[in-house]
Amino acid sequence: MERKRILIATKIPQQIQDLRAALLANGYEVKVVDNGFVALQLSRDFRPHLILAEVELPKIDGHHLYREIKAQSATQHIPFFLLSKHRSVEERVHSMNLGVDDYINIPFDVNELLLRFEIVLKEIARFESTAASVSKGFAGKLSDMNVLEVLQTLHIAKKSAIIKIQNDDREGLIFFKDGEFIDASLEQLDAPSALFRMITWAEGTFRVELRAVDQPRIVQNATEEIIQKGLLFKDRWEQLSRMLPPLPAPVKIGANLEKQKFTEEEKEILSHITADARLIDLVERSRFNDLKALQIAAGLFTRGALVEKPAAEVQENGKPVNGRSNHHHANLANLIVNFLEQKVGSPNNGHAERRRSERRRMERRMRGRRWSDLSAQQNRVYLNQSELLMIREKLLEKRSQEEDDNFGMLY
Amino acid sequence: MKAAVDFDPTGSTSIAIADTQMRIGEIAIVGPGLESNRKFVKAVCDEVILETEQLVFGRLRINEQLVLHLYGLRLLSNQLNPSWDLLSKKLLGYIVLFNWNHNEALAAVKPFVDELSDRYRIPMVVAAAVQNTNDALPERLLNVEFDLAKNAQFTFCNLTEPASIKNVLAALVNQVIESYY
Repeated sequence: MERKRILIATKIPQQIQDLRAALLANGYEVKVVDNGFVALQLSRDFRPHLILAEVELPKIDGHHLYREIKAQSATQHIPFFLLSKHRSVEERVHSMNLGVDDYINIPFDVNELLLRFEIVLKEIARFESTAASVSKGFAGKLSDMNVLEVLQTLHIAKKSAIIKIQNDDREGLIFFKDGEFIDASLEQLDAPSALFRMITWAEGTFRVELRAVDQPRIVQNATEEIIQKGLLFKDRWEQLSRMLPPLPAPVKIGANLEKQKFTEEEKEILSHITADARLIDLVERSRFNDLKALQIAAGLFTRGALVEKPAAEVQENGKPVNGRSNHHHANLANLIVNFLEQKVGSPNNGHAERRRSERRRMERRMRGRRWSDLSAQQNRVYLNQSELLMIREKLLEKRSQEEDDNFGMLY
Repeated sequence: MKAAVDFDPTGSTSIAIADTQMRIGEIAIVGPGLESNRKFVKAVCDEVILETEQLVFGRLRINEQLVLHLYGLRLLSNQLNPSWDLLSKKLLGYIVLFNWNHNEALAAVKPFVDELSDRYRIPMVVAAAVQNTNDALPERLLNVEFDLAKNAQFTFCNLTEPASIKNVLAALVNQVIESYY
């Protein structure tokens, strides 16, 4: 294992003899120099893991040495400790304001200083380890790349990886081996249910760690088949969702329930209603798969057996919900209104500028993608052919009737 | 906690939706003139659900289970960004409306139609609003000038005649049927 190198710059080397001895005894490699100029040279040649420099140094003082080291890309990452006999608060504040990692007064306790070195070096090692692991994978937001797109990417590239998917405070794992989906875990769900629930998450983050996976294969289905079913599932999920209030919306039992008859499945969904139940809770708590549960809930909404809790009631409970819609079918209208309000926005403030900047960033990224492919994949006709034919017939029928009426008026 | 499920959670949802849900087709009426878009929506809808300075949203009931939602808004090229892309996914198609009697309108709307067409590749009808459809030029001349993509069609429209507007909607529905079925 590589020994950690410490560079010490002090005008009186004798005063750090105990420290040098302790560092050597603890496996560090140490160089001690008596002026700032040599210290600057050694910061490149010796490649120290940490620098301890006295403020009062010949040729280049400690403050200037710090600035020089931080100004160069090759050395700017090196933690820098300042050493001084001055005990004034102003001097300490000035040094800390420069950005030094620590400020040590002379005399110092050797063991305490050793401990401080260890803490900083361990922190850096941990950071580097994290950075290295991230560099062997990729990460992003689900709003930019959804779970299915991540799966498709890994499948096509035939990669082994563990994917962490986060949504609020929930985290799920998906395991890929040589481009094949082999397992997934989320809370108490079995692998298929876990995967499909994660597919429904539109918000959150993913982190793909490319690595060997020893996990046994739990799911035997071909990955292409799973992705296809996932696409269909997501499509139907979105289709149903757009007819309903937002999934995090609080819901309650509707009026006149006694006049209605419910199937066993509907009763099961209604049994999960609690004082603070949200629509998504009913879906996730049910014994059915998420899509079927959402479908049953949609039926209950249509009949008025299940209703969105009015905003006033929700606020009384102290749990206001964003993105609520009082009119179920006005969801797209609300989205468009929000979209337009963003566009006409208001004053040219920082928030607006950040939004514009974010949009430009997204657009730059999206430009690299093939729009035709995206459109072909994303645009969905939510009505079937017979429904479209019905609409056309109705439109033309009314038109013919109006033309007949006009004809009648002329003659 | 859920019981284990088989790997086909997609089930037979579509039939159930048809039985229990109001089915909706969403259409955006866009173009440079918001007033024209407003007239279009209001002239044909049974009910105007929402009207703001920037949008009019109306409903046209087809039958007990089917309804068309029409969104009239002023949409410009510089608004076609990822946010709108997401909204666009929900639409059956676009009707791009412009005033035929304004000399500059055709030139102004052309780049927008091109961009919309390239970007979304979903059914589109370009409708020129005229006072009297009989005064309009032959469509074949216009199609040459517009050089419309396959997913777009040109037609005329008289905003004072609901029948004419329904004709435009029917043309879009035709486009949808031809594109997807």
